[in-house]
Amino acid sequence: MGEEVKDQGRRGFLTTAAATVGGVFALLGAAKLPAAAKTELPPLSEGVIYPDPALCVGCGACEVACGQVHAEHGLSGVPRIHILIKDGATVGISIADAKTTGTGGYVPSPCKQCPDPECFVVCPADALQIDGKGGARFIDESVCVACGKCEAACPYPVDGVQALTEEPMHTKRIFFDPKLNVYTKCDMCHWRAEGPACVGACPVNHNIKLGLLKSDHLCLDIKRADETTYKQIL
Amino acid sequence: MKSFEYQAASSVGEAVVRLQQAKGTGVPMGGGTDLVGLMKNRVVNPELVVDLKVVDSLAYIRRQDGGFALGAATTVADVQFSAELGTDYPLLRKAASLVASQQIRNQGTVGGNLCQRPRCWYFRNTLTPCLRRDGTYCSAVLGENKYHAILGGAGCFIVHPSDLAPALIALDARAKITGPGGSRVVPMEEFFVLPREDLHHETILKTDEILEEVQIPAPMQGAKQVWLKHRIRQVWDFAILSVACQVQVRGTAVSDIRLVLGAVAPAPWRCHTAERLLRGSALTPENVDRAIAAELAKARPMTQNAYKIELAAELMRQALLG
Ligand SMILES: Cc1cc2nc3c(=O)[nH]c(=O)nc-3n(C[C@H](O)[C@H](O)[C@H](O)COP(=O)(O)OP(=O)(O)OC[C@H]3O[C@@H](n4cnc5c(N)ncnc54)[C@H](O)[C@@H]3O)c2cc1C
Ligand code: SF4
Ligand code: SF4
Ligand code: SF4
Repeated sequence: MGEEVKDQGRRGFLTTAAATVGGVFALLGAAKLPAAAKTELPPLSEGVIYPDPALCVGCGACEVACGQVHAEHGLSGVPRIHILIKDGATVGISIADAKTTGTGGYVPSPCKQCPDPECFVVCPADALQIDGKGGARFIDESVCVACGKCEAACPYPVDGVQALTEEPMHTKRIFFDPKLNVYTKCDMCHWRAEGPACVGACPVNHNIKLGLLKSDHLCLDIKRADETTYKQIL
Repeated sequence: MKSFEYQAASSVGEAVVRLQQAKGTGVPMGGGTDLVGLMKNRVVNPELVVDLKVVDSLAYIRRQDGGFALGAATTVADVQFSAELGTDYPLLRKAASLVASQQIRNQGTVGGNLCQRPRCWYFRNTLTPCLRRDGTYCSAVLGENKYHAILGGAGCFIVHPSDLAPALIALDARAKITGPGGSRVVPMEEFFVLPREDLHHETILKTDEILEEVQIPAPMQGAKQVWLKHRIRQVWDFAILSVACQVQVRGTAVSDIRLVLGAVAPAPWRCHTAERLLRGSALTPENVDRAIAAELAKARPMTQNAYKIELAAELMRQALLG
């Protein structure tokens, strides 16, 4: 029989942590939690979207595919990854030169799947969950009360100009969907058999896999979300 | 081609019911000049084809509310040769007369022209990956993209192939859409969608809806109407770039303007920025150049199609000042 995997919310972890003798405890978000609320860190995410801005050609396939697969799955259609051009950079530059990619200065900004997710701690509705299989931090949109605390708590801003719309963007790695009145974030497409839609849609990835572009890693890769990798994500 | 059931619809209502029953596996057909090729190449594999061209009540050009209404099964040739339409809408007549070839215009319908599928060579070949068709990835981004989009692309970079579409948007036309729940009328501009809104479809039509009618209001009074199309072969060819516009000048200033580019984006591209800058200004070369530059500042060319920015600027200049 296969192991039963359950998604867990913050309360689940607090209960488990209280019952654990000799578990790994950490003082997490202590300022925000009632005194002495110690909690066990959730397991690391097995995967985090790990972009290389030097390879990205700014086509936006990741962004569009992200929104659309989620919408088709009945979730918010707001993309959870955005392609930015740093403030002040010229917008409207070449999408790609097949031999020298990355000339555009495009920066994909996905969620870092933090080892100590601050969004997870502050949610009063327990909408922030840890996927029981891969450890992805995700929002259960059916219970999100749209208070916005997760977004406020997220330490990583997304600041710049959106490559696809040229609209300025100043948010965190959690996004509000005014249509559904929920917040949403990268969930590593943990419900999707084919894996992350963005990684699958990135044409640079496919060209690397086909040997048409030389690179020892993908443009949008998947790495384990440990202390080192998550700090490296821009 | 995969085998399919053919249904000659006797009315719009019947067509819609059959499409609804087919639950997404049916498609409407006008003249079949686009659909049959797609089916032969197995890009589209319907189980049911509902023929709209046999619905008599869908082929008409009639006066309505000071303008005209065109049934979806009206042929492109009927539009091209209609003296009434040509008088009020010379830009539409010119656009229709430059679609494809006379044979295709005789067979192809207005509905089919507006709902035709993209001409991207990767989309039309099931051996090449395509994000729009099969959801893999876009072969055009790092492939052959000289005819692809410079505006509005995201994930997919098709250009919308219809010539009637930009012409009708410049004329402020509306689309009457009919489905099982009844009809709705939307501005033609909103009939088309960018990949950001829907990666797999070019219009807002649901699988059980059809485009029933195109409604064109009276033209802007005293306005200049222009249609320009740049293509490589002088017959049988899609636009590399097209411009459709109506410009009305009162005194020395532009009082109203609708300016639309074809073949630059996954949907006809209404030049809202340029229109805004020109409204209320004199139609001088300086003002026109400033408006064009502002519109095209949004362009994001791909590896092989930066020439389209210059081409668009030049055609817009000719349309507005010529
Ligand atoms: C060689 C060649 C050159 C061409 N050049 C040009 C050109 O320069 N400019 C240009 O604009 N076009 C061009 N075309 C495209 C041509 O104009 C279209 O094929 C034609 O207008 C489509 O009309 P149809 O009635 O035959 O459509 P069909 O082939 O019957 O249908 C096309 C699509 O529209 C859908 N459809 C049809 N009617 C409706 C409706 N009422 N409601 C909802 N969906 C509908 C069908 O399901 C199908 O997906 C060219 C085509 C060819 C083959
Ligand atoms: S992994 Fe899935 S949810 Fe996360 S950014 Fe990619 S497509 Fe979006
Ligand atoms: S799909 Fe790949 S190349 Fe395209 S914008 Fe996203 S990361 Fe960049
Ligand atoms: S441009 Fe669009 S239709 Fe063409 S290959 Fe790319 S995704 Fe497919």
